[in-house]
Amino acid sequence: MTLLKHVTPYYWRGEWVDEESAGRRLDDIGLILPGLREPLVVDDVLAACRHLASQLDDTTGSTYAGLRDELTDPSTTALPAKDADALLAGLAKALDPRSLAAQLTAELGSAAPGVPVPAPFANEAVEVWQPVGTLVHISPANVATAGVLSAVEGLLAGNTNIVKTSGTDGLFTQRALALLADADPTGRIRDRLVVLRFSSSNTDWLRRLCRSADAVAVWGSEEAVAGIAQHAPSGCRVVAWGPKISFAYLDRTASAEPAGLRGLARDILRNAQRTCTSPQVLYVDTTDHDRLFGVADALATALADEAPGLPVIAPTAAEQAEVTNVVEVARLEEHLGLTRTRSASDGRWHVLADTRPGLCASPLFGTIWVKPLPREDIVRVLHPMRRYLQTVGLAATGDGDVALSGEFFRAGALRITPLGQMLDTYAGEPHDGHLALQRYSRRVSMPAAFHEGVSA
Amino acid sequence: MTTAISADADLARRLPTLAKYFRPITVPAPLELPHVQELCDRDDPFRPGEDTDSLFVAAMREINAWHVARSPLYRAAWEKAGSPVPRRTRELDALPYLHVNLFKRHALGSVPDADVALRLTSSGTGGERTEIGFDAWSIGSAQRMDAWTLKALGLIDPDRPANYLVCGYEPDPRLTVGAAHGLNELCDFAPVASAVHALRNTGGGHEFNPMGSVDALLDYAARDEPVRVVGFPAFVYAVVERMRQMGVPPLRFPEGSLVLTGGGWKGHADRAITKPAFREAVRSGLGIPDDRIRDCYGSVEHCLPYIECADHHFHVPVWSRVVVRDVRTLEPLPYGNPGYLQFISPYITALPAHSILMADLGTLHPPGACEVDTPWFDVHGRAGVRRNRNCAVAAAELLGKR
Repeated sequence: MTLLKHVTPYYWRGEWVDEESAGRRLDDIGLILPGLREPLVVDDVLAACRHLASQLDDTTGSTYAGLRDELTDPSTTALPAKDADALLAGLAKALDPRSLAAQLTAELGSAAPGVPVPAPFANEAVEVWQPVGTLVHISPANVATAGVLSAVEGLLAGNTNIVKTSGTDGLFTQRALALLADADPTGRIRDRLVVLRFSSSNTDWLRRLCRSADAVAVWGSEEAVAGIAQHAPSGCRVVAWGPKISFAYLDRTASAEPAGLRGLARDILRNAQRTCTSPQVLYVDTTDHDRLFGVADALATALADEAPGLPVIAPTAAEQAEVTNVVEVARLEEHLGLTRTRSASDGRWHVLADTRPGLCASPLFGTIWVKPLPREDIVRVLHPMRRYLQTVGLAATGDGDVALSGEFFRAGALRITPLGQMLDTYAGEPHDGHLALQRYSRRVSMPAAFHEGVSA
Repeated sequence: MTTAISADADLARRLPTLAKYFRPITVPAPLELPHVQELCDRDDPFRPGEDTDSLFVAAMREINAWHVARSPLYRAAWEKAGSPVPRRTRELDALPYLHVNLFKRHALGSVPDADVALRLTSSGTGGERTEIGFDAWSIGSAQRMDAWTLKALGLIDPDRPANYLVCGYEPDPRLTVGAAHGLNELCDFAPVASAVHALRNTGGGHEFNPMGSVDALLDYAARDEPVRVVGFPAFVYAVVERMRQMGVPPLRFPEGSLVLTGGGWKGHADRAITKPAFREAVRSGLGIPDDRIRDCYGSVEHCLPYIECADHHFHVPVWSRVVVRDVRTLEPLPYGNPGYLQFISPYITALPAHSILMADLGTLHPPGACEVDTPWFDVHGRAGVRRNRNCAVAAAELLGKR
């Protein structure tokens, strides 16, 4: 662990460098790719992931402790210990080679995407997946493992990866990716990893970072995406993982039966609602305000029942203020006959029933809107938010869900799940309507006769 | 009072733009609101008389009854709070308060349309917009308080003409016919030698003109009159930054020069810098001393003015009271604790904003830290987050898109 003494915010292909040196090397990003001799082998990436996952499984080891310290460092990422442990467990699971192989198969057709396959509608041609090239990742400040996972996807597709972490982050991404590089005896992963921490307000660095990018994967707000897009060179592929909103739907044939609402209550309370798959609104298939308020009351009961079983995640002062702002206005709107509110005595959850159907976001931390939306109006009401829609947690009976799924997909939604499973994902599941590994790859073709010349 | 009125009349004679601020004005219903009239006629914001507390509470009882009778929403909120009638100062925080965001979503006026003298647009950070109608008393009394506060702080200069850089919107030249001049009200408090706008009117909108602003400052620096830089802090800062980038050496202006900012960093919050950093940038670029760089705080919904003293404190004037509330429990907090700012003032007849919870966080401090002897607050910025720190869309982002 002597290496860790030298950890800096700037990891450059196996070296820890200082800010001045990183600043100089920024202009050399475009020289990395042409200097590489051999392609990355996907099995080497899977083996390195297996090794890092096993280090993460050993929660008493010094590697685990070092990574955990970065996540809980009060001066930077400052996660509560419980959150840090949950995040590391989630990372270990995500790095399991079996689920990564499943993702490769689902997204690129096989666990060996570098092997050419005959083109389906041509007799004499083969096709193969190739890396896009130099892939810049702009990771968000809010999900500590996003930078690591994005870089792993970039490596699976064979790319040279340059990861920018948020100026307020600790050095978790640097340390985790350095461990991944160290786990590869061929050194090829190390040669394809650069991690730099700097603030996005440093536009000079941002511009030089993006100058040689063949693709930029950017996670974050619309402003973050727009800010990066202006630095991407012409012809560069911008892969934007932007903000999304999810909600639940209670069909008129589905009674507000306690089991379904308790599942929804868990979806609301998990991870303090901060996941993009967390429900922010419960839509009820009705125009009857009494039924709407009745469902809201039943949901409040379900939240009260489920809350003790799930960990409390305290909001920051600013986040708490946002919750109070929204709840306070909703309470005052009760006097206008527009709303009805129910809150936990300790403020752990708030149910805001609102007779206006328009989709609006929740201030999170256990705050859920309950709004009317007759099924006939689904596409019309949700249309203005089309590009932001993500998961719909659906409670319907009989063959109702088939038709309703079609309506929600028509409106722009990307995932349908049962209530209680909105936050669950499966290996190889599309992300926000895309297959990430395809976005980080190029599909190339050639005559079958040249097949021998392709390096796998 | 007679002396004060004649002093104001004298000021207005020397500087005619002040006349409209010092005209006598009357509450819409003198028999219903006599104490409101009396309190708002007090002309020195920071020298409360002995009877001020009881006068303030009496005025609050009157204005509360006014809105209970005219605003069904406020009446409902007041009844839900147990219909409190404050008898002394410490009972004032029992009155219900309306959240400022409510006024951005609903028209909640307490005066009939026929009595509306001025309409102002209230806009939220997320793009909500509501037009708020003010009666002549509400807006006139707020403007008079504005002038009295500037006077008390020594920021009115009736005799020396100043060169203005207005970091605000240039009025449409086609619409200024009949207006006294096409200038911002911030140009009313010293005679105008010349004035340049940083946000030029293009005919179809406004365009920030940093080069023209730098040229104006260079021109002013060669003249004898003091300079007054007034308007939005984001644009004042952008002009100073442009000067620095261009390598313009630090300028020097005559004694009496002033920078007066207001309106916050709305729309430019991502570029906002701290107030001390702002003042340091202005001081080093324009040579205007720290105690002549003042910020103003207010809002459309609570347009009573708060203007920084030389030590950069927002002092609570005789016409209002400030309560700070916990962001979670909404309980009142003692001095020195940050929370929501709540303003209580009987001046407003136009809408039930006589007790209003702002979306800004602040801290209230006891008097005694500077020359102005009333409690004061500082503002920490907007309470709440515009964007959640996660991949989920946040409320404010969506509001503009509904």
